[in-house]
Amino acid sequence: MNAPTKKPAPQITALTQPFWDAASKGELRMQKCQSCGHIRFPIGPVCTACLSDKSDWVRMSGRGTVLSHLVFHRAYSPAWKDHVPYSVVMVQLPEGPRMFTDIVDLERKYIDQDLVGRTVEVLFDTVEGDVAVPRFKVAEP
Amino acid sequence: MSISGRAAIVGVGATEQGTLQGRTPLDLGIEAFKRAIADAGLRKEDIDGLLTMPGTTSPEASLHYLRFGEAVGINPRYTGSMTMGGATAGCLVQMAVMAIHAGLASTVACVFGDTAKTGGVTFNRASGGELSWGLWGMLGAAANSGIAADRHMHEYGTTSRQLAEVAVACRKHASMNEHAVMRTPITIEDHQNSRMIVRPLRLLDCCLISDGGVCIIVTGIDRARDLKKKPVAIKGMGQAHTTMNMEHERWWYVPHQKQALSDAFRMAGLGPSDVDVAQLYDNFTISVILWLEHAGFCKEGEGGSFVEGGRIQLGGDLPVNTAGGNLSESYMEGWLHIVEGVRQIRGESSARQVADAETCLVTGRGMSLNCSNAMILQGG
Repeated sequence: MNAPTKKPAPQITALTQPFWDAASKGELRMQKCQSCGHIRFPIGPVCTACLSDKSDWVRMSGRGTVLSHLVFHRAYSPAWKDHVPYSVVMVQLPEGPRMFTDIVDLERKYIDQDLVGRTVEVLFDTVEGDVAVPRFKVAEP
Repeated sequence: MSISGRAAIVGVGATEQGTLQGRTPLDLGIEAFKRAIADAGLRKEDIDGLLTMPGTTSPEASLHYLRFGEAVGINPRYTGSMTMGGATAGCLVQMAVMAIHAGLASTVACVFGDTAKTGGVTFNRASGGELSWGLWGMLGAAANSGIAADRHMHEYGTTSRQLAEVAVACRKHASMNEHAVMRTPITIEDHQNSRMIVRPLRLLDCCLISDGGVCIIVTGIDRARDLKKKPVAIKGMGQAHTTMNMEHERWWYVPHQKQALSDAFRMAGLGPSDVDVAQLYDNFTISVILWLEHAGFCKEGEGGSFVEGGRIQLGGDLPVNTAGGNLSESYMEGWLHIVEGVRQIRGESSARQVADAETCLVTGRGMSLNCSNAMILQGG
């Protein structure tokens, strides 16, 4: 059996480099504005609340709550071909930001469930060299 | 002077729709343009404004207006291309109205041609820019509307069978439209048995992917009254957009659409109870339910129950997407919604004509739930 198609690796830019550096160390970090304290995501050059360009990359707890749960039965890119059906959830982080993530569920325990309201926790999936993508799994109660 | 009713749609043209082997987005746009100016009783020399939407397969992308103008031999006073997905058609018509009102053009052709079907386009774009959502498998148009449907189901108890009502209504209307691509009637059970694409959305929740071309001609109301067909005046128009996705807490609900609609109603001096027929952008079934709530036909969260029992079918309280919509007529990214709005106001919709249709609401929505617009059409 051939290895499953590889999930995509990020194109790392100067702007996103700190995010990926943190991920390679097993940390989920986002930008917190030095001026107003707003934590922004997606990554951007300035604070979306006050436009300050000064920020610190602060570590998130790595846990969150599922706001919405999709199950992809179709792959919209070849990289995902061998992974369907797979779950993608919108996660609310307690620190404020929201993000999309696929759910790491190798045993397909959660594919037929509704994960809305469930707690998920981050893990780091090495996709290429020392580049790791933060993804989430369902936190066992 | 208010811009309300100062410009009108005087010509519409659409090509054959569906799977059109051997056609190009450029030649489909040109055919639609020729049909639209003939419909209006105009010559190409009368067109001094040219606004275009590049097809998904148009090689010129944002320079499409240059290629199109060159191809039909026009040197417009006012021109440009815009890419807002399914919101483009309405935004271009509104731009035409504004240009005419400002005196920058007298008669504007708005044009679209695409070969998404034969070109193998899958609408698999991922948002997120430098941190593409595709890294997490969040790709394609169905995913964004899937979030909307999933959240709506959780917050308001909306069901998949209610989504099916939208698909059934659009297909019924398409079955009465000889130009529609999908004309075989479907049932709620057919919808429930169709395969899952992105849960909670099934195949029959999704719009088609199509080849075709559409053109819409807009001119000032005084000139419009001297032309061949009954003018269809743009009485109200509004737009609203959110460029913020994940940082917008209610992004999935597309609440900015309410602003677009209330602006359009206010400009027209009308409200939802005045609407006789509506063409509501339906990339996915859930979108129609959101529009109904945002327009005030029902309360927030009640769109699912609103569409039950054939209420949005011809013969129901509020006929919606009377030509079949994106779901069943053809996926022209909302361009045909405006065309059908014009035909309803002109009384040209034959078997699917809504009796005494005086006021039509037309809406458009595009990108990752980002862009929206609304127009109120009436006879001028």
